[in-house]
Amino acid sequence: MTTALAAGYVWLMPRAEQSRVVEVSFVEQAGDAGCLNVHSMVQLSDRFENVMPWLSSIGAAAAAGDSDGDGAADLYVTNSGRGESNRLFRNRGDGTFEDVTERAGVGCGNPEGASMHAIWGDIDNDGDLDLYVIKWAEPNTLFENRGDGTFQDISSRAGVDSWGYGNAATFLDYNRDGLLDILVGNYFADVVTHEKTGKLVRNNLWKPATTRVMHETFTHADNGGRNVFYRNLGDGRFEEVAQEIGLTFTGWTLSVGSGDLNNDGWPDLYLANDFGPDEFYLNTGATESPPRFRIVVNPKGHPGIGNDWWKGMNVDMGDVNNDGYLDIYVTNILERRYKTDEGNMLWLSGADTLSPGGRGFRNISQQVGTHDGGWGWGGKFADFNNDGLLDIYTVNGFVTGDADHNYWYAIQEMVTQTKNQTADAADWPVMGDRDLSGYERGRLFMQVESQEENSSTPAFVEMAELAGIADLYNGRGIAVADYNLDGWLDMYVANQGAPSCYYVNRTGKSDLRTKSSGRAYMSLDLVGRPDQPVIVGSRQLASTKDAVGARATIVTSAGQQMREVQGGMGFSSQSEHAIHFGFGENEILHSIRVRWPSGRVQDYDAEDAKEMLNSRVRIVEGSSEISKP
Amino acid sequence: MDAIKQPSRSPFRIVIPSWRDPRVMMSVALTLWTVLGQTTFYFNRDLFQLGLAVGVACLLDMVLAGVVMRQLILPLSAYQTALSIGLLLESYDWRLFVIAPAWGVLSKYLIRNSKQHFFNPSNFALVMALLLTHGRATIAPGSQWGADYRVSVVIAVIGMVMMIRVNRVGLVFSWVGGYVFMSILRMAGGQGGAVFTLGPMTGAEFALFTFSMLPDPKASPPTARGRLWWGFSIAVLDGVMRYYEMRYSMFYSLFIHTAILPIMRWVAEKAGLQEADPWKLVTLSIFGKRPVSSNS
Repeated sequence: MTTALAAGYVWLMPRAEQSRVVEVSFVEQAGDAGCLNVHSMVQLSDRFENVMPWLSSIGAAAAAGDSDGDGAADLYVTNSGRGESNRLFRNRGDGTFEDVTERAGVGCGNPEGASMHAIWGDIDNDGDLDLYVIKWAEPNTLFENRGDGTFQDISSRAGVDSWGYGNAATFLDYNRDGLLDILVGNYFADVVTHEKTGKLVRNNLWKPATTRVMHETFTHADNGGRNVFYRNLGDGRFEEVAQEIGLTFTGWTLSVGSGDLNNDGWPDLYLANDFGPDEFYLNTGATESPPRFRIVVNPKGHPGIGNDWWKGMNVDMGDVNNDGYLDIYVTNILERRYKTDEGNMLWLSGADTLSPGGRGFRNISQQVGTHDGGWGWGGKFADFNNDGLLDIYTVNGFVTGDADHNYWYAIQEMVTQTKNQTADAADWPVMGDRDLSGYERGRLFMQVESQEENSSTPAFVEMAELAGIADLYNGRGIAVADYNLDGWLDMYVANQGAPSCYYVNRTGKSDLRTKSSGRAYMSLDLVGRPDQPVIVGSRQLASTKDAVGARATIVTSAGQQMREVQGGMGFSSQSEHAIHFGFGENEILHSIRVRWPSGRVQDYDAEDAKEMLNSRVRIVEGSSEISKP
Repeated sequence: MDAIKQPSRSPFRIVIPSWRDPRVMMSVALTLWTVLGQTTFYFNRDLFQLGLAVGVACLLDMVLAGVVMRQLILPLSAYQTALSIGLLLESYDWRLFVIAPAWGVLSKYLIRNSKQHFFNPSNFALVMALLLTHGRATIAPGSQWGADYRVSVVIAVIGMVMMIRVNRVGLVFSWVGGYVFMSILRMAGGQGGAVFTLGPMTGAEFALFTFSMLPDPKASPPTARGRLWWGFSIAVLDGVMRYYEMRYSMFYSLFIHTAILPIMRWVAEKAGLQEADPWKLVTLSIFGKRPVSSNS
């Protein structure tokens, strides 16, 4: 027996550490660059004191967007404490920032609730980015950009001032009418049963009507918030149509993402839910008008994309294996010390006759080494070393407390229970100063060339520490952008209750004398023309001004790369609209194709592509002109 | 401990359970539970892993029974072991679903005192998997088996019927009573409220342990009184471990107790207290002799 036990022990012994190293380097400069923000945490009613560190563990968000049209991404950063202002950092154009919150009038201040998230999008197609701030227990706020550095609150007039517990939002044009719509993902329910009167009342976590506000199970809870979908009517107003278009599930949504996952030209949805299955919706626009969203069920008949672990925190989409289809990264929880071997999921798109449209997803995360993200939160695809392969940066850490005294046991005991017994916060053991996966370092999964020939499966190595990412804060949102316009993607990380980190990419700096120094890049700033719709059959399709949903495909001697303009994706964060490509030293560009949401296609040949190399290029829909702002 | 010693020239026999064998009903219940879980409830069990566990356990049991005991068996016990492992164990690593069932089945043949094994194979496999697989194994959260009290009620009802058939009702009540007693002590000690301490009893993990693993007739004391103390003692040790925040404590507690089961058996044997084999088997000789029904 001893031999059998020993044999099993040896067979499962972890393999030796990876030997491949990727050249990538960051330096943290939030203080020096003038964009440091120390996030203030939400403080709820004392009735939740026993689990306060848990309930106040989200709210640090960051959104990158070029709000002043100068070509450089600015930053909007949230604070969640009562009376605390959110901050707008204007990029001076060189990756340093000035705080312009007061002048812009976008502070919010959290008078009754708490700011949780924000996204940039041009909702009125006037060429500048407007700002939508998502909150707990306060109406969400839509700020219209006046174009002069100031903003105006138009939430009520526009009809997007929903009250709830939003933690996620994205802009998308689901019906391709050239107008940005909004999806808001809510976490807690907005109404609860009053513990004394038995009546349905507003769920106010500052003045609670009950302590029964928690999730009813850890695996398929549907007592979370009602998600909201605003259809843009084009006259400055929106209408709420979530039920009408098929979004009915009331899970605990933490992140929402939109992208054309089946390449039919219509934006699909992925919702990452805590305590329940994620939701994957296909847009029916290709076969139905007006379009709706049809939920995808896995072969077992359950909602979702495959076997998930019911703790979805983040969704991001990117073509990780350069096959022309978007793949999905969902963060989750992994803590081997407490035997929670679940982990982040990398859903690779592939042909699958059993799935709708002949495309399915399989989780390759464990196989390729991107699943150990700790207690994961934000996670983003980006090509950090300009090698043409998408990498992944993911942050983590839940509650930092006494490292010798943790809360894992309490959580795991509650997980074993049957439905509804976890719903009352009062039944949860006191958390006090206990730690729950605090002190974790972010993971930088750098993609490397697969060692298997003709493999469409990517391979990664974890490089965070070697790359200079050293903070142990509880990270939440990651806003990726080339802030200093040097051709290398930087990261801004909003940390929960802690100073933010601004990681400036130094991979290509000549003083480092790395192989990466000779690599090239291209950054495309796509501008749609909603005033130039395309008639397709009986439909009139148009792109939004900020071109959300447009995609560019570049064919090179090394293969192809595809990127899609996002309207805000990833937990509590938004990366810049501009799409970024990296190219190896000897890579030859053959062609560029831009597919607009209107259906229009623009092609550029090798000569054009060469002209765009190593620069940020503005491409306007329907125009052959290429400009470099 | 003694591995099985069988005369090499004994006749080769076919040994199959009769319909009255309690393992038949248990196997049907576990199968039904698995099928319902995959089709109706949100069991997040990987069918490949479940199939692998069943295949490995059954095949290994049949091979070992043939080689060591010169029997061709219908591997019901191995099937139950595999399903328990497939349902309870959670890991990305498919190798675990080879190793754990193999460990469980091997423990039956290789860790024995006198004529029989004393570890519950599923419990042995789970504990070894938790301790020896470098953090790759965990016990699946109970709530993923439906998180529905009706699941637990059905398990409890079927479980109690089976407990009557294998004469283990007292053991179950002493374990559950002991658990409640220790929960009250833990509450008094300030570890948490009633839901936190008593709530795990409502989950499927507790039910599966209580009605499938704990009362294994081959891995529990032979006397009624001994079983009462046994169940209570497992609960006390479990309660102490829970107080010190040791997860999966009931599996560890049972493991520790079964490790000392040979002593209890020895004492019972000295006192002349023996229990009839609960398995109801039909044995057929394949060399032309007439079929014989027996409880072997």
